[in-house]
Amino acid sequence: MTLDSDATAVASLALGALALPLADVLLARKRSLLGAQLTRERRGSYLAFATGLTIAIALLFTLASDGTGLPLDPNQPLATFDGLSRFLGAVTLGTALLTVLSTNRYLAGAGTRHGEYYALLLASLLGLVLLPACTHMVSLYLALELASVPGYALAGIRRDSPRGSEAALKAFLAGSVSSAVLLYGAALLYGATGELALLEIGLALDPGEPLALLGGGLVLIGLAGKLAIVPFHQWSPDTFEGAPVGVVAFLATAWKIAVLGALVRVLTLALAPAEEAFQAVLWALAALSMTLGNLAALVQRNTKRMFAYAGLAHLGYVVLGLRVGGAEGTAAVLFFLLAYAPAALGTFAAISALARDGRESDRLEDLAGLFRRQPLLALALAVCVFSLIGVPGTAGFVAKFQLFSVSLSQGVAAGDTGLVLLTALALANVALSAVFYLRVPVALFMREDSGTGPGGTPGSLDRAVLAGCAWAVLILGIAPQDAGVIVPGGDLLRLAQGAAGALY
Amino acid sequence: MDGLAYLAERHLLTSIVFLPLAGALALLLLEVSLTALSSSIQRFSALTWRVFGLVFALLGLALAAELWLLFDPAAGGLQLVEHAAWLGDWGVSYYVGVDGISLLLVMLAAFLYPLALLASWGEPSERARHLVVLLSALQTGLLGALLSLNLLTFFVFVEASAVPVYFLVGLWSRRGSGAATRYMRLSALGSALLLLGILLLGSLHAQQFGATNFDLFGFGGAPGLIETELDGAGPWWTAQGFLFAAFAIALFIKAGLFPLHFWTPDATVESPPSASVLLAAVGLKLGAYGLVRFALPLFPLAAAAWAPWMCALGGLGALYAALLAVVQTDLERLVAYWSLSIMGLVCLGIFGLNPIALEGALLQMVHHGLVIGGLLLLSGMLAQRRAISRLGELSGLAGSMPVFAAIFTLLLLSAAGTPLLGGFSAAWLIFLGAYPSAPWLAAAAILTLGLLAVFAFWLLGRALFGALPGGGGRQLAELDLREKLVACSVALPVLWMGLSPMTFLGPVERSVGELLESMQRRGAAGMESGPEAAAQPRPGRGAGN
Repeated sequence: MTLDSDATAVASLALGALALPLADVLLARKRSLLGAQLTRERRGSYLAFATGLTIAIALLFTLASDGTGLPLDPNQPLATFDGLSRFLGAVTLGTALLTVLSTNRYLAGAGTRHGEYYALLLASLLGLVLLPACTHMVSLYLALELASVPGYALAGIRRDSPRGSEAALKAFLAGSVSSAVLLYGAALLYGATGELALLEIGLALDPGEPLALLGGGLVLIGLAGKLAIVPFHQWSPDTFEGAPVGVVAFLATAWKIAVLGALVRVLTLALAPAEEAFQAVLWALAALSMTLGNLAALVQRNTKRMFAYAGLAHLGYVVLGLRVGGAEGTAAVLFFLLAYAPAALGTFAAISALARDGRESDRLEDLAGLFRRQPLLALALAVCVFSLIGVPGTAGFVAKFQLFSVSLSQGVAAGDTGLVLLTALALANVALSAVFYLRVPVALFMREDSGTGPGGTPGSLDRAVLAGCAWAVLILGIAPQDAGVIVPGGDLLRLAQGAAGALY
Repeated sequence: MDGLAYLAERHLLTSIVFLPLAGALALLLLEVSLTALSSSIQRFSALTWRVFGLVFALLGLALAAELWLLFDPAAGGLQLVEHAAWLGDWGVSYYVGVDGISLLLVMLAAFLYPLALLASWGEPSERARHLVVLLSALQTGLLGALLSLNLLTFFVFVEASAVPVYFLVGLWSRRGSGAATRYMRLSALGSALLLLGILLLGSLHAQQFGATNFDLFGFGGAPGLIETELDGAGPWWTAQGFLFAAFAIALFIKAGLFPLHFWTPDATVESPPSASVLLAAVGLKLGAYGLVRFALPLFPLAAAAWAPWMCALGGLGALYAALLAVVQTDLERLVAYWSLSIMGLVCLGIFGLNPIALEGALLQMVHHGLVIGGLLLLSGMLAQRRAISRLGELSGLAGSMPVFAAIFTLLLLSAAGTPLLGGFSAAWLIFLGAYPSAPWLAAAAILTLGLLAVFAFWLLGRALFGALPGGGGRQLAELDLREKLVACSVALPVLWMGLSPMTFLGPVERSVGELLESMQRRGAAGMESGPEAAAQPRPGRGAGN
């Protein structure tokens, strides 16, 4: 029964991705499927509704599964539907749903072709939902490419804009190099162990063998490149600046969350025997990502670029959690992702909500004086930003507290000075991030409207999405145990623990 | 009504903490739902907000008075304790309780809050609603931090009070958002350090007892953080000295203590007078209170070892801030530096590490809150009349504003430590306590107060009783009834504190004794050689600092 629900979720996404272009064509004819000819905006709304419905169905079925659909089994090595895939799948789908809801008005204004946009989004989402479930190098690679290729096209969906083309090209070049590196690493691992299933690789891996370490390292680098962890991040700010804000929201939340799921699988299954060697790599990646991400975000004036760099810093915190490892560290990472999603999504949704005719309000000045014009929108955005800083009362605080608490306990228990120093660095980085994040509330509340922004009026869906994000952030921050109201399943802290516990 | 009575009876501390915020949020919700229901209903007027804000503040004061009556000074220990798990798995609980040390500061906060609200009635009315909501959030944060006995919850309340301060400073600032941003940056740095210290301590505790628990004192059989052994042979970052340094730096930032004080004058001056009262009078105390409540009992050996240096920072900081106060040309800024100077004395008293000095420090904290709060309120009233507060343009006010002049004189003289006023009792205890271990610093503190006293007389002579170059004094409207009420309410306890300091010290004595006792016990338990170093600094040590 429960595999049925996981499978139904995946199948509904696949069906949606295939049916949507067809529906677009049928709706676009002079005598459309629904009778009279439809305006472009109208058609877009129908397609957005269909996409949202598809994702919602997939989300419901994912939540309905009990996380034991297809346990880890050497005879069925391609995929595993367990707590981790359920948790990350649900978070990915939830953020994607909110993204779709918040971009419809923007797309209508920008004159983008809706049909392609939603079809690509669903295809990419299908890959993403499968990613955390993949436990085989081949299926993992396929899912990653299924997610990536539509992703490149999405980044360049605004073909009229040179920046859009730049965004797509950079994402494509970096992404395909990352894929190649990942594939090469998998090949080396196969050479060293003779296996392709992650579980079998882990059983056969000899931590003393350079070939295996090199292979594992290349797989890590490939995934790090897809995630844009520093120093493999150069494509990400340019892509984020050039791509439409809805796509950026998708790449910054749903995308990262799902690919991190793949990283967790690889680390816990395939590379577990060589833990010590890779811990140093993760340490360096975390330290670089959080520090350089925040330092680079300090000097940005474009909010999308700023949030892109700040997202790198958040990836650094996540990698710190992976460096801690174990059921506790992974649970903290999962909750961190859950907490990060609505806050990050809220910031992008706000940028999208203020766009007019495809012009985005992506400069800091465009947010100036927003509190006067749109008090509720400004408050919701401020709540999201405070969560990204980690102010108590918001999800960001609980997530960061849990993450740093776990890493310090382990550092103390193991007498591990490196881990304690890394956590101290992370805390210093959180303080540093306050410097640039606070520019947003300063602009919202304490500056006068410059009058040069696009000054669009948010639609009711935009408002609803932002309010939902702010609400999720607050409820996760104040009562994470009782936050089951968001996702049926009750105690989200325990849910994350359960999902992580299944891995060990 | 039964439910409310039950709350006030069984959950008195919780009611005190959350009443301000709950009141403001209820009003906000009512306003939003009423305006949504019917388009004919306008937003509530400024008067509504002010009156209801004041009503809730007075209710809070009544609850605080009940707390004062219920508190049994003879029983000692923690009283009216409430405990509930929040993030249970992570050892974070909502754990509040009151002892003599927190009682005084809670009373101070509850007393100043209605006065601050009342004083804000004179400000422009268009932002009355913002002001009430933000002040109530600030007040809840402050009270929660003062009553929290779980370190993480303390941290949460401290941070929760930083957010409204940020908005109060930034929204009301006359010179852009610079002061607010500087405040938040430094505050974030301090918070990161404090959180690091708390989490490290919690991890050490978890390692020793097998379960994470951030409660300071054990509750229901679970051991508290205070039982953590900190002298194991762990790496350097588990040493008491390191953890104490993290706490001390963070709390020095929060308290605006020299040499991490530089954010305070701007933040005080730029925020509206009602907010700067809460910020300077109570907000700064959170840092000092944190030192007494957490840093001293948790790290007794390190505190004793560092005490001479901390005393030096306190004493010299007091002198330095007094010198800066003397050269200010703006009344509010002058008060802000004066406040820094008194906070230096508080620091000297805290790290005197004996009962007399510590009691003096606590008394001084309350006194600081009253006089600095009062002076800020008075200068706010002056600013409302003149829209400026430059000292050079103030002259001969006594003629047209006799009540103002009287209260101003009283507060200023008390702030300079004149006998028979509150400042004298507090400062005297601090000198007495600090003298045996650090005579030179005690002398520096006396010099500070002497300097301030001379300056106070000069200032009074000039601003209140002098004449403008052209002859004659400024003609300003005398305080109206509301303002007189505010001013006299602040002045009375100052007078009372000078005449009968024991009213204030009564509840404190036992708690201070218990605190020092526990430091001594822990110090002795953690150290094989020289247990006497723990609580009582040896005479002569640190004398040169």
